[in-house]
Amino acid sequence: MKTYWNIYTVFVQNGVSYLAQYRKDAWWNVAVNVLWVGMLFLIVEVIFSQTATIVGWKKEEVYLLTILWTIVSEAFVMIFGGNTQQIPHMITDGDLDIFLTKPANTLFLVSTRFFLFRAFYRLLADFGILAWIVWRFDVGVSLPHAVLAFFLVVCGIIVHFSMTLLANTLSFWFLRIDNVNDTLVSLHTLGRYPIDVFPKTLKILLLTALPMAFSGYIPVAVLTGRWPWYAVGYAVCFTAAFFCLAVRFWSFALKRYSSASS
Amino acid sequence: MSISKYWQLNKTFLQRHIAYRARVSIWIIADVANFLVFPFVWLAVYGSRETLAGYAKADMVTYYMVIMFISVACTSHISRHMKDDIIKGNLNAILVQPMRYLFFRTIHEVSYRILATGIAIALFGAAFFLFPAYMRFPSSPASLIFFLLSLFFSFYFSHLMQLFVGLSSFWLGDNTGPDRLRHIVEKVFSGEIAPLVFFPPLLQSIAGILPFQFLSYVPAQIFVGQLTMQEMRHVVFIASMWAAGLSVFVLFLWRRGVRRYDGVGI
Amino acid sequence: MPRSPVLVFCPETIFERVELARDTVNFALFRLKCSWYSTVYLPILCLMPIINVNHLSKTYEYYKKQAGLWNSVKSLFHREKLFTVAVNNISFSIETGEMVGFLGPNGAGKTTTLKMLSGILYPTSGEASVLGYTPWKRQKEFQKQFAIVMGQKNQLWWDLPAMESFILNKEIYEVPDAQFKKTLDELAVLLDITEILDVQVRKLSLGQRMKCELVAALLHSPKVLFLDEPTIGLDVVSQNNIREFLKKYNREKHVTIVLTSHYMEDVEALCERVIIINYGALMYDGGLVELLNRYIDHKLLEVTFTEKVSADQLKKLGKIKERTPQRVVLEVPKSNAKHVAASMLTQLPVDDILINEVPIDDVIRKIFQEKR
Repeated sequence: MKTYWNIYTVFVQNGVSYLAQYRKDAWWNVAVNVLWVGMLFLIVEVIFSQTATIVGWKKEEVYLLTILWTIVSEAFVMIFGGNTQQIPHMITDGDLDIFLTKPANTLFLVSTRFFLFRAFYRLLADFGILAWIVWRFDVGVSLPHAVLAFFLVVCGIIVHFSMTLLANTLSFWFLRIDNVNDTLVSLHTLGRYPIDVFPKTLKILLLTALPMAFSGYIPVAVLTGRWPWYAVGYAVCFTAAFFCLAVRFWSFALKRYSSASS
Repeated sequence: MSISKYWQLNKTFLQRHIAYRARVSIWIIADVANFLVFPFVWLAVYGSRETLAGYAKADMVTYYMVIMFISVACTSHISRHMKDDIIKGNLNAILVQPMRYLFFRTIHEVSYRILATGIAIALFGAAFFLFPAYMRFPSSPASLIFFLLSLFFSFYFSHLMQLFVGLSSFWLGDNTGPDRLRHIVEKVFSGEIAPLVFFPPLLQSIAGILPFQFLSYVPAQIFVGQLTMQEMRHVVFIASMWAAGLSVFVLFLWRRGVRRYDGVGI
Repeated sequence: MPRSPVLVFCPETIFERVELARDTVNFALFRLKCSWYSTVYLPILCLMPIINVNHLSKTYEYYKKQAGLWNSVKSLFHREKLFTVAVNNISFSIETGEMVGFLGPNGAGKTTTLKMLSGILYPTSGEASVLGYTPWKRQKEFQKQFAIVMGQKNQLWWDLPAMESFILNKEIYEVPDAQFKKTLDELAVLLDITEILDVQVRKLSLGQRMKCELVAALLHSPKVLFLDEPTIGLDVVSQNNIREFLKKYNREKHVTIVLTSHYMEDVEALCERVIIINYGALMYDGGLVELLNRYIDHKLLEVTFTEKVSADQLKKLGKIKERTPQRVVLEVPKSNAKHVAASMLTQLPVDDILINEVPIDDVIRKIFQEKR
């Protein structure tokens, strides 16, 4: 265990080294990110220009949903994003080979190698925006609810990672599906809206096989008291099970691996 | 500049695109998912009302189906390839060939679009088949003609924007910053999010003087019957003016950029 | 073949027996809390070959695709599956401290074999044992004792100094700080990279990069080193440096080295033993010298004359390979070479005479073309 902690420390240090090289982009990066969040908020404004509530959700709740979703998204990118995106390439170009020979878990090495510090700065900005939302809309939240929501946000990150891993593992069978990551980003946006607007089938899908609702909807639903505590239990169990499923599938696929000829 | 050369190039690109079946299937899933969201959200907003700002429920859903069609069939993504050409010096290989670079990259994009149009039509047809009550079609042949014309402009402007961003690599090297900015501006002012009439008034006026509305808003409006004959003619005229002006500017940028390019990448 | 339920628990092959023995001893010693390595494992290791391969095979599947747009569209719906045999039933064993060269043309199966021995690939059939472990089980204890360097693929982080990659490997292989420092210093001096440790890898030349790759691989003092085309693309000086280093390292540390190459100079300079693989099959396994003796029955006489000599005179002495009016290269049976040389010196106006071996290239090419 200590070994993995040591390895990860080196990864983070390397992330800092990378950042030092591309410093001039850092501010620009954060600025564009703020604009992007602004655009997401614009969408909320546009929707609420014609109505006061939507499926029982008020405007500030949807703002919260949007920003928490963004936080989950950004945290995922920071820890895993630079890595999972490369998995299809690594598999088809045979770059996975060297990781198979290392005495540390291949999945760990492959999925946490690059720690994206520029995403860390964006994440800080997003937390700032979250604080602003809470202040501006005077959102009253009890501490236990907030802690629970934070915990569920972490679950959301794990679920997002598991989902991404499952999709990328398909690269072992289907070559050149590197656009699968772009697709996941598109599908992920489904989690930015109160899923009650969707028809029942889709709603269930978003809570199970295509668990996009875990990124934003579930934490906010719990925060605003919409979800009962036993449903929280479901969220936690699902997170653990889904993660195990993704890891198992990866291990299974690795056995079938026939690396590209040199 | 023979036609057969470009046709062969087109075929080669097309082959490359469909070489991988799973990849093609994944495109389709992504494109559908994106545009399912807003119709559902808006239907929830409608509640018991029949129209909002002149858009009936069917108008609204059709609006987004058209946006989906445009997103699949008329959107260019060539700037990434151009950036790689310039930064990595691949431009050399194309410059020495008897083919004009901008044409080459345009053919690249058009071949992608041909395949994509097939998919887009299939998706649009599927939408009509699955929920006919929510779909409406242009009322007259003239509208349809204007619609097709507006689709051409949509692709043209999308491609021009991509060329701008791609050419900016000559000066900036890695242009991902400006590219993301372009993406945000396009998304906001093109009407992709929602009909511009629902936007705050300030943004509406800004959108009115920019050419981004021709990307999605204008074609969708024409299809859904929001414009009169006279308005359609007017809009096409304005689009042509913009197209002409921007094309000249792109050629100018290309000439200046190539002069800067010294063959080893930037 | 179905086995009786009882017999399932009995080890069938020598590999399984070794593994069972090792695991039993491990367990016993663990209970007794003593250091098993020096008392038991090392002696066992010295008694058996460090690498053992038994009827190893690997077959790949791939899809056939014909050119043309229509065929592309057809292939969206149906594709023809084909098989290619990359490695076909090879067997060999390697003792501790040997330096063995795998020779073969591209696509012969050498890299595939190496990948199976390092645990990257699962074989279609057959067995192998390296350091007493089955490689494709990818056990941690095994992975900490070997290293693989692939000439065409980096393991170093591209945008960072090589030192960062070394530190990462230190953590991955759990090398203690003191040992890491000592090994690094030693290797850095040997390969002359002390100046470039803090330079970004992408700014290094190919030769420097290769040296750093080697250091990264050797930081955890592996007992077995697999090298896949280590000198490919390097200039002559760098190639020489790497070869000298490998020779020295093998001699001093008794590290078993298996290297694949299609540069004959690599094999000539480094390996006393070669294994030739072609079309996935083992074609030759033995000493390099015996290989040359077996396949070459002639030598080359390179002669320059002070005046022009006619072709007819030369044809009587041997087979003409190259000829200009005052220079000739003759192919002469080995046993005859000295005799022919002597008679040329007395009978013809010879200015200079050289007796050369046939280049290894030609030998290997001849072997590759055999058994087509």
